[in-house]
Amino acid sequence: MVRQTLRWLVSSLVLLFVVTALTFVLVSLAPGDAARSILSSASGSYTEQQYQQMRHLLGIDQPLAAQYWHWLSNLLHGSLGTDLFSGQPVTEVLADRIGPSLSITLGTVLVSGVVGVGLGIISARSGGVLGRLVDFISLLGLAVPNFWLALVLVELFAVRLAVFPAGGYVDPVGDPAGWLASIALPIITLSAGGVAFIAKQTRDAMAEVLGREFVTMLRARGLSTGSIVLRHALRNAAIPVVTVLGLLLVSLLGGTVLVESVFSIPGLGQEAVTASGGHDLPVIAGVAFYFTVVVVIANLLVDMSYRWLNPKVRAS
Amino acid sequence: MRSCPSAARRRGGPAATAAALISTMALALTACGGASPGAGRPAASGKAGDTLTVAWSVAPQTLDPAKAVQNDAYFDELAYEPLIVRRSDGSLAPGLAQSWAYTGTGNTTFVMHLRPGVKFADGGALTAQGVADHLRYVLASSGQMAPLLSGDTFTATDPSTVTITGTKPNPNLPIILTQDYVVGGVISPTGLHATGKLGTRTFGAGPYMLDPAQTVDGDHYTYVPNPNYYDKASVHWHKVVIRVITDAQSVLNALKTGQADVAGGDPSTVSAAAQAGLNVTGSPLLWSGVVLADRHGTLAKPLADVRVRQALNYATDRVAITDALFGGVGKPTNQLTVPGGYGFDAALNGTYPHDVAKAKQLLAAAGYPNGFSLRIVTPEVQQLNLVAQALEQQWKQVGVNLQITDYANDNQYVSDAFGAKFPAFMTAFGQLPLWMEGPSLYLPTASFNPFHVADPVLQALFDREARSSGAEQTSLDQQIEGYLVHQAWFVPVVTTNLAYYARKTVTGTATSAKAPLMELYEIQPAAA
Amino acid sequence: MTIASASASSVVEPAPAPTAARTCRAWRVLLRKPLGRVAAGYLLVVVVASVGAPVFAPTDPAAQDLAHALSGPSAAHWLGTDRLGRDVLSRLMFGGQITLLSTVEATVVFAVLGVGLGLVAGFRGGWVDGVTARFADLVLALPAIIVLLMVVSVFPGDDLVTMVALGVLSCPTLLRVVRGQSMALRQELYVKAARLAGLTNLRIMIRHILPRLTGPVIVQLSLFSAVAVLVQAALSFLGLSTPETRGPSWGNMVGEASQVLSRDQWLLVPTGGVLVLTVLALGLLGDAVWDVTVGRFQRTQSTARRPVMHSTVDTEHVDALLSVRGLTIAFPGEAGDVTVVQDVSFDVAAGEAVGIVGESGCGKTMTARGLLGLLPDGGRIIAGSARFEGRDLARLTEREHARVRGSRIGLISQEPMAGLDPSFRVGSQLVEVVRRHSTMSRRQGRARALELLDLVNLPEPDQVARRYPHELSGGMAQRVAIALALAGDPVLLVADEPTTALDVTVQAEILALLADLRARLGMAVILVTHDWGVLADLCDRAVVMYAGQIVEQAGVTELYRAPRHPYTEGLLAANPHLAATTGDLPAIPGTVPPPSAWPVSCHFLPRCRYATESCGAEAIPLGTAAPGHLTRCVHSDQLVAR
Repeated sequence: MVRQTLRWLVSSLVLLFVVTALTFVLVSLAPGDAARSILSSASGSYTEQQYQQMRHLLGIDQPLAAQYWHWLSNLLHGSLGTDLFSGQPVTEVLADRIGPSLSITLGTVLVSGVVGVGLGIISARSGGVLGRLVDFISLLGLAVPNFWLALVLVELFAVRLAVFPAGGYVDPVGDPAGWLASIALPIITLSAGGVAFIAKQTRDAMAEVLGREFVTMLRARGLSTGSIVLRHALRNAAIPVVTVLGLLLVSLLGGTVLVESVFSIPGLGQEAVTASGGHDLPVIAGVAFYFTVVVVIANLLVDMSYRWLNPKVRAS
Repeated sequence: MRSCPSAARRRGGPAATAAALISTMALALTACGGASPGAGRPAASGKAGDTLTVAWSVAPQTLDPAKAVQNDAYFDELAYEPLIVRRSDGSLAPGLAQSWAYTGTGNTTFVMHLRPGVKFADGGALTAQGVADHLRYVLASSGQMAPLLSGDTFTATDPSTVTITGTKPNPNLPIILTQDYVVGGVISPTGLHATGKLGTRTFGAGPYMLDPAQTVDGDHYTYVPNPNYYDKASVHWHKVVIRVITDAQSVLNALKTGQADVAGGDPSTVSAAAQAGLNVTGSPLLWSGVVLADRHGTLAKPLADVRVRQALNYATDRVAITDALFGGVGKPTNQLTVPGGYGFDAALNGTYPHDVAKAKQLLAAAGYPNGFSLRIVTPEVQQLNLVAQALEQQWKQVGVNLQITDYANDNQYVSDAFGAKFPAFMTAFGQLPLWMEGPSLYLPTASFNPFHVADPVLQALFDREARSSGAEQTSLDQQIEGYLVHQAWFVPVVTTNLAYYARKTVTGTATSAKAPLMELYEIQPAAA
Repeated sequence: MTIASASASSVVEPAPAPTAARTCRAWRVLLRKPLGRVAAGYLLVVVVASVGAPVFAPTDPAAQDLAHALSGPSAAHWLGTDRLGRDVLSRLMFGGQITLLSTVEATVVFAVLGVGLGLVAGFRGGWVDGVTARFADLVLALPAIIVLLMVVSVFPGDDLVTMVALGVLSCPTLLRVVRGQSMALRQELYVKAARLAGLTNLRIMIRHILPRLTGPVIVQLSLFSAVAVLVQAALSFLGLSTPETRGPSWGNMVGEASQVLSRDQWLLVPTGGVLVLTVLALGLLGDAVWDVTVGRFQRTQSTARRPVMHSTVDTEHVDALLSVRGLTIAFPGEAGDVTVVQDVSFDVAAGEAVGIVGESGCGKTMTARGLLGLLPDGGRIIAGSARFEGRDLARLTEREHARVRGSRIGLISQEPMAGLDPSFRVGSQLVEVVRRHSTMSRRQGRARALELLDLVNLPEPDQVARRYPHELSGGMAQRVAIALALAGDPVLLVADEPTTALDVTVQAEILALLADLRARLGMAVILVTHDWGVLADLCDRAVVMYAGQIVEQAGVTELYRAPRHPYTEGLLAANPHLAATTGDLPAIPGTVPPPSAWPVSCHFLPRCRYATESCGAEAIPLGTAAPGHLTRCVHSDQLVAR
C-alpha cells in the first residue's frame, strides 16, 4: 500500500513536471510575446524601448529556465504567479473558472456513466433490433462533432423551444435550478460522445462476463436476472468500465473547450484559448497544471476503485 | 478613439466582434459652458427595475479608467461618474463638472467648476485636487487616451475649480472627458492610493459600483447601486449585469431567450434580430475597408504610386459587397467618415465609381499592366474577412492578386498590422473628430500608419484645424477628408451602423446621428 | 473535439490475431457485410470527389456570386450557396482535400509511431519495453487540448504540424494494442522457431509478426482517422487552423454556417452532414473490420422456443421424480441445426442416485444442463419431454425455469472456483441464494448460511463466510458450491463432474460428503461423470452415453459385472479404478467424433471392435437386454457370452 502510494506520487510528480516544462518550452517558441500583446492592445503602437521595459516588468526577459525555476519555487509556496494582463493572482483567475468546467465535466461523466452503462447492458443482453439500435446510436454519438451538435441543440432547445438557456453559466449557490438549466445543454452535447463511448465498453465487458461460468451457476441457483445482471455481472464488468470513465474524464478536459466556446461558459478551456492567444504564460501554465492535477486525481480514483472492485487486488 | 484594431483584446476569443474595433465618434461641441444645472441624466420614467442584463462581446482587459480602452467604456461608466455626461441625443450635460469652458483663444486653456458635496462610493469627497491628481494619473499611465492629454498640466485653482493648460491646442477636451472616452470617470483618492486594485475593483462616484462577489472576471460583471450617489432618481435598476458573450449568434440567442435585455449587435445578425421582434437601434459609425499602409513601397512597391492606390479604389464594387454582406445596415462609401459625421462631403462619394477599365488604365500607366500580388492581413470581425475575400475576387479582374492572411486571434492581427508586417490590412474604423483622428489614423505617429508616412500638406491642414472652430473647422475637416480620399491612402468600402438590440421590456436604447453609441445610463424598464 | 474516442478501443482486450491469409479473406467478408460495403462505398465517393474536385466540382470553390448569397438548394447549386454566393457543393468537395490530407498525415504518424514502438516494445521486452510503456503513459496523460492549442499558436496556420502533433499525442492507444499482441506472438512456437533458425529480429517482426497484426491495427487506424477528421474540423471551426481565407474546409464551413444560423439554418445541414457521415463511415468500417478479423462476442440470442415434439417411444414413468423421454438438444450450425443429444430417455426416482457416464463430448453435460434450462448460447431442446413434479422441464419458459432452479433442482459444477462470483464474499453469496428461496430476514439468512457451511463440513463457518472465493482452496470451494446448491432445499441435485478438478484425497472427501448429504436429506442425485469409481461410490443406476445417445442403462453393479455395450466395456476397461482389479487395459481406439460426423446407424461403429456389416445399415434402437438393462447394440449377446 505504501509502495503503491509512493509510486503514484512519483509518477504524478514526473507528469506534472513534464507537462509544465513542456508548456514553458512551447509558449516560448510561439511567435510574439505577452509584452507585445499588452502593448498593442493598450495603444496599438509602441517603441522598442517601451517593449523592452514591458518585458522586464513582466519578467519575461529572463532565460526560460530561470522563469521556470521561479515558477516552480512559487508553486511550492502555493502560488501560480500572476496573470500578465490583469495582474491578478493566477489562482484567483482560475478559481472562478474551475466551477463551470468541473460542473460540465463531472456532469458529463455522470450522465455518460449512467446512460452509457444502461445502454451497454441492454445492448449486451438483447440481440435483434434493440441491440442493433443501441449499437447504431452509440456510433452516431461518436460521429457527431460536438461543436455542430451544440449549435443544433441551441437552435432547437434554446431558441425555438426555449426550454434551456442558450448559453452562460449560473452559479449553483443561490440558484441551483438555474445552474442545472445552464449546464444541461453543454452536458447533453458532450454526453453524446461519452454515452457512446461508455456503452461500447460496457457492452464488451458485460458480454464477456455474462459468458462466464459463474453467471451460469448463479442462474442454476435460481437468482433473478436482475440480480445476476445488475449485481453480479455489472460488478465484475466494472473495472474496464471504470477505466474508460477515467479516460473519458481526461479527454473531456479537451472537449470542454469547444462547448465552452459555443455556450459562452467561463471555463478553464476558454481561459486556455484566450491565454494562449495572448502568450499569458502564467495562466497557460496554471491551466496545464490544473488539468494535470485532474488527470492525476482521476488516475488515483480509478486505481482506488480497482482496489474496491476487485478483492484480489485489495488483498495483494 | 484609437480605434480599430486596438481593440485587439486578449479576451476577445475567436469571435471577438463588432465592438472590438470600434472607436467612438465624438460629437459636435455643443454644450460648451455649463448647460442646465442639476443632474446630467434624464429623469426616471417610473419604477426601478430589478436587473438589467447587458450582453457585450468583449471582456475588459482592465477596469482601471486610466488604462482601459474605449471599448471597455460600459464596464467603467456605471461606476465612474464622468466629469461631463454625453446624452444619447448628442448633447453634453454636467456630470461631476457643473460647468466648463475654454478660456481665451486657440483652444489651450480649459476650466471646469465641480459639483459641490459629491461623495465617492467609498466615502471620499470630490475635490479639485482629487480631479487634478486623477488626470495626472491618467497621463502617467500611458493608456489609450493619454496621448490626447499629452503635454497638458492639471491644476486645482481653487477647491472646486480645475484648470487644464495645454502646450498645443486641443479642441476636443469636453468630449474626451465624457464617459465615452473612459478617462473622464474620476477615480477616488482611495483608489489612486491603491492603483494595484483598480484593475478588478471600482472606486468611482457613479450610480453603481462593481460587486466583486457577483463578478467573474472575463464572464460577467455585476453592478449594484452606489449608496452615496448624488442623483438617486436616475438609478433605474437594483442591479446591472454585463455579460461577456463573444459570439454574435450567441448574443442574439441570449436576447431572444431573455438571458439579456440589451446588447451590442453585429451586421451578421441584424436582420434576424429585427425579425425576432427585438428593438434594433443604431446610427452610422464605422467605415470598413482597406488601409493601404505601405505608401513608401517598402514591402509592396506598387503601393507607393498614387495611381495604383486609386486603381484599387476603382476596381472595388462597393454596391455588390454592401448588398450581399451588409444588407440593411450598410451604405457604400468612398470616404473615411459617415453621413453626418466629421468632414463628411457627399460629393466625395462619387470619386471612385466601380470602373474596371479605368482601374486597368491607371495600373498600366503606373507600369503594372499585368497587375501584381499584394499581401493583406485581416481579423475575423465585422465580416472583414469576408470583405477581404470579396475584394480578392473583384481585384482579380484587374490582375491584382490579393493574398489574405486571416487571424482569428486579434492579437496576432494587431501585432502584424501595426507592426508593419503587411503592406495592407483590413479595418473597421469608428470615425472621430478629425483632430482626434490624426494621431491614430493618418499622422506619421499614428498606429494606422505603421510605415510612418509623413505628408507635409496633410500636416499643415491638421495644424490649422487644431486651432480652428465653427465653420472654419468644418471646412478644414472636409479638406482633410478630401485629401485622404484623393491620395487614396485607403480603400473604404462600406459605412455601417453600430447596431444595438433590446428586448421590448426596456427603453432608452435609442441613438442619434450625433451620438451613435448607446448610453447605458438611459436604459429604463419599459412602462408596463 | 472527441479525443475521447482516440482511446475508444484501447480497453478492448486484444484478441488472437488473425493470420495474413485470414486477413485477406476478411476483406472479402467485410465487403460482403452490407454496412461495411456502404461505409467503404461512401468513403470511396468522398475520396474521389475530393481528389477529383478540380475535375468534378460544378464550379470554382472561390467563385462568388454576391447577388445570390445564401440561396439555399437550387438546380444551379444543389447544396445552396454561402454568404458570398459560393457553391456549397464545390466547396465541400474542395474542403474534403484538406480533411483528407490532414487525416492521412495524422494517421500515418499515428500508425508509424504506434506500430513501430509497439512492435519493438512488445518484441524486445525488457528495458526497451519499460521505457516505451512509460512514454505511452506519459503521452496519454498529457492534456492533449492544451498541447494542441500551444502547437497551433507556435505554428499558426500550419496544419501539418498540428496533425503530426495529434498523431503523436494519440499513438499510445495503438502502441498498447500492438505491444500486447506482439508480446503474445513472441511466445508462439513458430516465432521461436524462426529465431532458432537464425532470422534477425527485424526480419521476424516484418515477416511473421506484422502480418498477424493487420486486423487490430486496421481497426485502430479507422477509429483514429475518424478522430482526426473531427479534430481537424474542430480546430478549423474555432478558426485555429485553415481559416476560411485559406480555402474551404469542412470545419470552417460549419463555422460559417454557425455565423449565419439566425438567418439561414440550411447551411448547417450539408456542412455538418458530410462530417457526421464521414466519421460514421470510418466508425462502421472499423466495426466491420473488428467483426471480421477480431471476432465479436456472440450476442445471447433470445432462444426462439419451438413447439417441442413429444417422443412416443416410451411412456413416462408416473412414479418417478424425473422422467425424461426422447430428449433431443440441438445447436445452430453453419448448415442448419446440429443435434448434440438424441432421444435420451431415463427416470430418476425420489431419493435415487443415477449416474450419467461417458467420455467428454458425448452429451452428458448438455443433457444435465438442458434439464435446468442452462444450455449455452443458441442451444435448445427440439424434442422430448422431462416430466418433473408435474411440469415438463423441456417446455418451461426462462422465468418458469428460474423458479425450479435452486429451489427444486440444485446444480454443482466441475469447476467450483469458476462457479463462484469472484467479487463477493462467500457469506454474501450464500445469503443471497438463501433469501431468494425463502422469506427469511437478512439476519435469519445469515444464520442459515452458516448452518449450510456447517452442513458441508466446513470448519469455522463464520470465518469461511467472510472469505472471497480466491481465498478458498479447491476442496473448500466445492463445499461452498455444494452449500450454495443446497441453499434452496432441492429435491434433486445435479452434480456435473463434481470431483474432476480436485486432487485425489479431496475427491474422496467430497464424495463422502455427497453420499452423506444424500442419505441425510433424502435428495435424488444425477451424477455426471466419466469416472467409474465415483459412479460406484454414489450411484444406484447408471446411464452410459456415447455421441449424444444413451447406449446402455442398468444398475451400477450389473453394469460392472456384465456390460452389454462395447463402449461400456471399453470404458470399464480403460478406467484406472477397475484396471487395478483386472490388470487388463484395452484402450478404445480413436476419439468421439464431432456431432456433424455422427453415423446414421450405430454412433460407436467406427471405433467398435465388434462391428459387422449389420451394424451399418440403419439406426440402432435401444433394446432391453435383461430386465432393467437396456442397450443400443445388436451384438449385446456376444458381449454376455464373453
